[in-house]
Amino acid sequence: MSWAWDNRGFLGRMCGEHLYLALVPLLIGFLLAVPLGLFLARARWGRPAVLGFCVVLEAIPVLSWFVFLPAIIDTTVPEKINVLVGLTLLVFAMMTQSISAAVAAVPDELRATAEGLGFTTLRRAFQVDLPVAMPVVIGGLRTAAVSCISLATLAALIGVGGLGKVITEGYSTGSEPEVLSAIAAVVVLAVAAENLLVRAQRYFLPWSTLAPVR
Amino acid sequence: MNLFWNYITDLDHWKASEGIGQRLGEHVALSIGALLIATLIALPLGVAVGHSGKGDDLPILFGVLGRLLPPLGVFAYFAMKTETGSGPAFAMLILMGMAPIMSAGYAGVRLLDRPVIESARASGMVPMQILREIELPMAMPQLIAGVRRAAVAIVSMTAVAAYAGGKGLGRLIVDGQQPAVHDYGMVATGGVLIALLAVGLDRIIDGFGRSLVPPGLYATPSAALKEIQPRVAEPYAPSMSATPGY
Repeated sequence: MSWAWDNRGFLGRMCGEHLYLALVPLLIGFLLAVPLGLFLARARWGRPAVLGFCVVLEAIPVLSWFVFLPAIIDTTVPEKINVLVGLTLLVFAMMTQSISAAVAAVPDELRATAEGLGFTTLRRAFQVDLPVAMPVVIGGLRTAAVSCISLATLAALIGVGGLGKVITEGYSTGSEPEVLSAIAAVVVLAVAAENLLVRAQRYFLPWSTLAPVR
Repeated sequence: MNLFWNYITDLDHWKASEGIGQRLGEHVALSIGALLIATLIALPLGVAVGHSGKGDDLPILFGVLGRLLPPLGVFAYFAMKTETGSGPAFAMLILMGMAPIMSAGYAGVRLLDRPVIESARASGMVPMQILREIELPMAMPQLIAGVRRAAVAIVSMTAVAAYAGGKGLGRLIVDGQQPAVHDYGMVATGGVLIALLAVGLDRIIDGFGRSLVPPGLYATPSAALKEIQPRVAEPYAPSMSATPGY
């Protein structure tokens, strides 16, 4: 533990970089998935095809994206953008499935009521479908957040910073406490992110039945 | 793109010692071996815990650790603790692959509708019958999903293990970035083959798994329900069948 204390500045900076690598994709992937998920939930066509595509997209390991994206978007390997785009694709695939499933499960009666009250389709999507589906969506978001924070360590394999870099540095210099501190920091960040989402749900959706914090 | 294409289509790179062919073989052997062993250990354990309700701590502990611990850190740490090589890496692969399977086995059986289990018991089934004839078939979609998640995770973790002295396609990614080699084609080839392997294994298990799921589980109850319950009100649809003059 003394290693972590002695290098707290470095560790803190790396935590910040790690959060940047993990949370920016989480946000962008989520925002991209919201419209598509809302559309797919009630779409008459394209649902099986797009969801099947998302299943395949989710199965592609992010490390493959990290090293193959340079060939597609014309970057070099050790660049942050590869990590950001790769993780965004993963979050997008996960959240599209979870949002469309959650919205498809919104009771027909609620939607009919909203329509009877004169809601336009767009307004109903954002004021009825999405809020009612939100507890399930947040459940998916928690999984995605933890995956992102854990997988962002792989950025070190293409030489990009974050806590993964602390792990590889500790491994190559044979410094065990450095590796352990980095693992502990990743776990702390993941638990904190998950906890924050649970608290956000409790604050913004006080009516939802609360899942116990684990 | 060209660098990648030239590298992967060059037969010499496939046949060479420690070339693509050898690495691909290693990767397939490591991942499928680890997946089989992890499934054989974790599936019965998870299902047993879910069935009996005793010892839930085990799958929950595995689930939490498997989700939170970064694979790179785990492999690096254990490579430092033991001698490097694929032995310890293989053991870690099995352990990390067990997490999703055990959670799926536990949750799949535990979260089944209790009334179903109760009525099976009430109709005189013994616990073993309930397990074999009710719980396992009904939990099958979850079990398959767990194995698929483990398969994808193991294929990508095998690549990560290469960093800490493991074998397989991950070596192409790690070695290709060494300053002495610096071959982007090699790196990209590793990445693409890992992705193909993960997606392929996922599709195969999904296809095979579908044949194990009892067809009755796929029948949607909603279609049947709609025939019994007439729609109460559709105020928004000027329906043909509504009362005339409405």
